[in-house]
Amino acid sequence: MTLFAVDGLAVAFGPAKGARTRVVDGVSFGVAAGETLGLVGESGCGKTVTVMASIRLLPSPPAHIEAGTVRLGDTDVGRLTPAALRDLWGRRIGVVFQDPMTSLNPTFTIGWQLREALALHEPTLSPPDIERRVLAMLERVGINAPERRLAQYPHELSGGLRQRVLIAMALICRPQLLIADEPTTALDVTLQAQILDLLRSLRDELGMGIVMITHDLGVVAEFCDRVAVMYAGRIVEEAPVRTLFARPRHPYTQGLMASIPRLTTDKAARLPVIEGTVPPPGRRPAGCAFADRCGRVQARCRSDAPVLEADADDAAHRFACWFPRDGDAAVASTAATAATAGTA
Amino acid sequence: MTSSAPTRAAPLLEVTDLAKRFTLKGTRTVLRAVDGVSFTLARGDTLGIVGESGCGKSTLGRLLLRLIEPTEGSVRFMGREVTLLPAEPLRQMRRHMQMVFQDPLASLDPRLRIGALLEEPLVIHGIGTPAERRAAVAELLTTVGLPADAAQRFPHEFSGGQRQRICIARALALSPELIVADEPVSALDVSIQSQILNLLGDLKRSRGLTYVFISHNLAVVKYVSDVVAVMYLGRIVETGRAEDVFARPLHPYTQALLAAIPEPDPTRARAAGPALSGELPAPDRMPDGCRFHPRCPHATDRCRTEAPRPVSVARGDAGVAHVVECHLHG
Repeated sequence: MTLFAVDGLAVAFGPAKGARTRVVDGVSFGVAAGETLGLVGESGCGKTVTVMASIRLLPSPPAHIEAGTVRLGDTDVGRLTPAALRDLWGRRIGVVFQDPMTSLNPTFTIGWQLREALALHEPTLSPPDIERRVLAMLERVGINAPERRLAQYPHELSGGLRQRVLIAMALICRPQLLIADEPTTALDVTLQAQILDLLRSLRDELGMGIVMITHDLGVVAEFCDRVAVMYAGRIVEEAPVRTLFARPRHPYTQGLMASIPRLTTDKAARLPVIEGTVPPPGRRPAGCAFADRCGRVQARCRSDAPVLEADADDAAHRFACWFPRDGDAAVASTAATAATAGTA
Repeated sequence: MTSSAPTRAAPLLEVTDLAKRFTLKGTRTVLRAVDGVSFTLARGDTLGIVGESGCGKSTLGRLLLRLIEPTEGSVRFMGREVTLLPAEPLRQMRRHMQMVFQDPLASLDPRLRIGALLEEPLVIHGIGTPAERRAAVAELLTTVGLPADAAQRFPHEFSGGQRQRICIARALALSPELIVADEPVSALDVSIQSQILNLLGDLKRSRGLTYVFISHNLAVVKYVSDVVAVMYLGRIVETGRAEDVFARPLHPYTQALLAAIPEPDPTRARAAGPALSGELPAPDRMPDGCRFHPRCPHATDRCRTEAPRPVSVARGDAGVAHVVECHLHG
């Protein structure tokens, strides 16, 4: 049963009247309760815009939702009034942003901010109940001596503690859906491991669905059940995490996987690369947006945009490529090396 | 990868007991950012310095070039004591040691065209005629894989990866021996990271460059480095040939770092449970004894009171010892 469903979402930026630039184009995905979907892609691919626009967190103008529907359970998110939206955010959808310093209000204590989040959405709670819930939540996210932390301001906390406070704030109303936008990117690896473990156990405990926005394929492999790869405003491939890593079909996914240095990478070899750069919104080509960087581009790729379609023998694996090839990293690296040799 | 010659010549860079202490403004609190670091680096080798934020790795990089003054200790580069050089010889020495920073946009003057940016170091050091310098700029652009017309454009017209190529070209302008690269690919997208890492590798081979490569990314450090140093709270807690340190990490901190990296392979789940609990203590509150003991799963009473000394555990290839600072190993 799908908890959160985005269907055919298109987002453009621009003034209320006048020229707009389409940034996200025809994106569809779903998340079930208790499931984690990873949304991966490089900067500017539209992953954050997709998710933030889908829950209507982007102000309009400049953001305009030009097409698509978004449902959370039985709720049509696109039709909600501003008051209903405020009730949706925080109570049914929690959001954790990348940078905890800019997401917390520097002028209020941690305790004030947590109490406010709870009191706003559950007005029937008595002050002692609120206090109990806040302390329990801080303890749950692994903060020692929570009573002491309540009186502190965000700048008094370390980066790891701030991220824990942010998670506590996002989860204090026990939301059905958690949006996590690069929640560990600003953290060191040892802290990242702690935060991912925490999110995983909270997901299982609360049975919530998670949309995890990240550029880190390591985090995806470890944390996500399913992955959608975005490129230039579209999903180019989507699959269960093991399928995607074992058998990526889109040349962009293959190139991405081949190009990351791993602990097992041979030092004597050059790294496979994806030549060129992502076309900026507004200057995306007519056909496949990856065509200019693709090692196996053909005439059709330049004229027709490929559609995201399920694999013939695996309905859970979708990709948008006219000429998909089986590719583990080895195949992709040969293709990428050949492309390098061609341009050199 | 180039290895040092069998008969070991004098190292290009020799650092002994280097330390930098900052006194926090308006207080007597002393922060020991770099706290007694020693290493040698052979010509043509790459030293990778890894560690988490606040471990002192960037401060160390700046000390090597004397961009900040050390509190104590010695940096010998090309046989000369950098810490004692007066202003003019230091300026001359800097021709041979250059730096590449994490954020290429912040490192490039937005009002200068790329041609002027690349020519500037040559002008400062009075090298060549204007015509020769223009030729040198064109050659630099080719070397780092940028089109010749880039010289007429401004930094904002380039992508992040291209800007980092410009920074690398600028660092190469004076044909240095040593490049200190501080997180040079961390701000770049993964598909661009591999382009820049390949470029740095090509330059090392073609120009015989020596690198100090500072990064928090262990996979990247392993890929580029001949020798690795792992820093924790201002000290190198483990160092050795990259192959040795990654195949057989000895310090519990190195082991924890390696265990914490999420591998891009869903069939190889990371060991359950947090690899390391707690966070880095504030550097103005340095723990007694071993500075890692509050987070160490193996800490004993000895670790709480007595600071471990560096112990050479094994001698790897090319005579580079695998050294660790931990009571578990001596």
